[in-house]
Amino acid sequence: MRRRSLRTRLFLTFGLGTLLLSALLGTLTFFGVRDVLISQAQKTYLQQSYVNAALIRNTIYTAPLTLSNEVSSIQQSADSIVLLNIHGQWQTLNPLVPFLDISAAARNAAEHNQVTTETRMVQSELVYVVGIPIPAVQTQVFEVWQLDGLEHNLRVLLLVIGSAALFTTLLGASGGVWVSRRAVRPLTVVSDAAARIAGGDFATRLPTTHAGSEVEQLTESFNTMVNQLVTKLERDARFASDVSHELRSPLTALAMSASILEQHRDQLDPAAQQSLTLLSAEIQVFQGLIEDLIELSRSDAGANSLSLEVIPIAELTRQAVRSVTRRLGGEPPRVEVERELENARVLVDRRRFERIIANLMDNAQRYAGGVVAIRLLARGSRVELNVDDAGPGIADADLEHVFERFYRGRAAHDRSVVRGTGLGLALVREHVKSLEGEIRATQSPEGGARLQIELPLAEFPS
Amino acid sequence: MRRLRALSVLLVAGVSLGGCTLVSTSSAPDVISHDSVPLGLLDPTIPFTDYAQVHFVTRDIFLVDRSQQVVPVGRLVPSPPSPLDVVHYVATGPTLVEGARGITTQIPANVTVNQATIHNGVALIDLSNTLAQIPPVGRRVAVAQFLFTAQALGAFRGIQITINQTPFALTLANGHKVTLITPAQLAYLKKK
Repeated sequence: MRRRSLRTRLFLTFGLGTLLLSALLGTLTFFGVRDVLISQAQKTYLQQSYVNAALIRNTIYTAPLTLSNEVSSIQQSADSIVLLNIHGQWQTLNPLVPFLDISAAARNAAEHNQVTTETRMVQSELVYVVGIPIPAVQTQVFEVWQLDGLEHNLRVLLLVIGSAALFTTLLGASGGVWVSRRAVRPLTVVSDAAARIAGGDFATRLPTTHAGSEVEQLTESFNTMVNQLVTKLERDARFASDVSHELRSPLTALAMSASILEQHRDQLDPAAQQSLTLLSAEIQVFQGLIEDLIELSRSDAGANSLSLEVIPIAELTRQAVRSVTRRLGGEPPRVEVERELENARVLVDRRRFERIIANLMDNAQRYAGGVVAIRLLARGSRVELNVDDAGPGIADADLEHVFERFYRGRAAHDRSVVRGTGLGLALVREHVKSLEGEIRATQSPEGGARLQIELPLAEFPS
Repeated sequence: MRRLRALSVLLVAGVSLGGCTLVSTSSAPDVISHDSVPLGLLDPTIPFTDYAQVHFVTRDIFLVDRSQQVVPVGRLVPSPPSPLDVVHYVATGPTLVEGARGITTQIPANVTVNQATIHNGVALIDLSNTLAQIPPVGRRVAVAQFLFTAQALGAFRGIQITINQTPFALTLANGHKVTLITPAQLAYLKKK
């Protein structure tokens, strides 16, 4: 399952957290206020019903003929409906509320001299019914109070609390966005810096900020780590460079000695001739390795100066191919150039470009039966140079490793191939990078491997 | 995403349900203990009296049906019933339920009973307003309402009506004017 980004998770955590919190608080507030409002209303209605029942009792006792007026007066002032059951007969001034709406349980309780209260729906209206028996006057008073006003108030309260919860949630989510931006920004900066360093820009450092002690500590640790890494790389490069330089002189002496021996090969017996052949070959490989190591060390140290010039890419490629073919022997590979690139020019170091072509062709010659074709294709503001070989292609698992130093892949176990230094493609990558290009290894549609280089165009004639 | 959706559904459902029953109804009435009921409402007698109680009895009063004949209907009155209490209900007229059944009264709404007593089988009824505003036939029906109500209370000899203490004479159907109206004179107006 794909995990969400930290920003999304922070946003969701804040949003959902606020939603849950506001929902919880809203619910508690609503039910708390609701209970208090209902309780207060019912208490008030009950007390008022007691007073009204006492009035009715006194009226029946002192002036029964004015009972209707008294009940009417009570109903008007209290905004309630009064139902009387006098000596078993129901009396009401309001025919819209028939006595049947008083529940049987309440009526039964009143007959047993019990005061009852009840909240119920009567004709789709929510009412609070107080039943008070008055045995001294053979009367039961049922006062019906409308709860619509209370219901309305509660709905308004619910709406207000719901709106507040929604607003709070939005506020929380906005806070989540803000916090996630602030929290993730240092990580993004670190990530970008790490990517630049991984791309070879060892001068990259995190800027010192005042975004909090944790971020400052992270910045300091990161920069310290990069410093140490750079120091180690420089030390390693210097060591390799020193070793290479130290080895070059005795190796040159060895090569010269081998050369002298070559001149007197005829005077040697067959076993000595074979040994000389082996020695010369190994010295040649060793010299190549040392040269490559020195060049890589210079590249790592940034000591290789560029001599840039604007050159037609098609012509430069053809010249390089011809030059390498002369050295390697055999038929030159096809060089196919898209028509629009015939006069296109690139800003390159001629020597490095020729070294790129040479190394690629050497590599193909050594491990894949030579180069089949070299193609130049236009890719917008860039030119794509494809070098296809005649080999079986590169295993998918090796594709991303072929430019690593001393990575030999399948060739390491194949004794039939001619031994190389293992640094040729690594050097190609360094040169391509120095020309602000990119290189990748893929499979050629024709079956072999394809090494693909992209370089920026300096001029693209229309 | 699924959790967020479930939470939204729960919230909406909660609000909807909450909106349905903001004030919960009772499954049964709540009984309040006797000790909590104030003002002596549950006492068997009326407080601050000499153990007074009010009992009610039913007495007939006479109203008018659709055929313009007087018919008896029951009224609760405190016991023992006084003539004034009972005759008062004649002036009050029919209830809404009785009115829905076609029962009416010929006594104008502005007529109230000032006094009603019975002596030696004769009821003396003093009214607040004259009955002269009623047509003669209706006037006899109105008097019949008082007459037969009083007869049921024991005024077997008849009634004498005064308007604010001024004697009132009823013109009978035969043209005679009488101040003491007897049941026999208006018996034809009473529904058999």
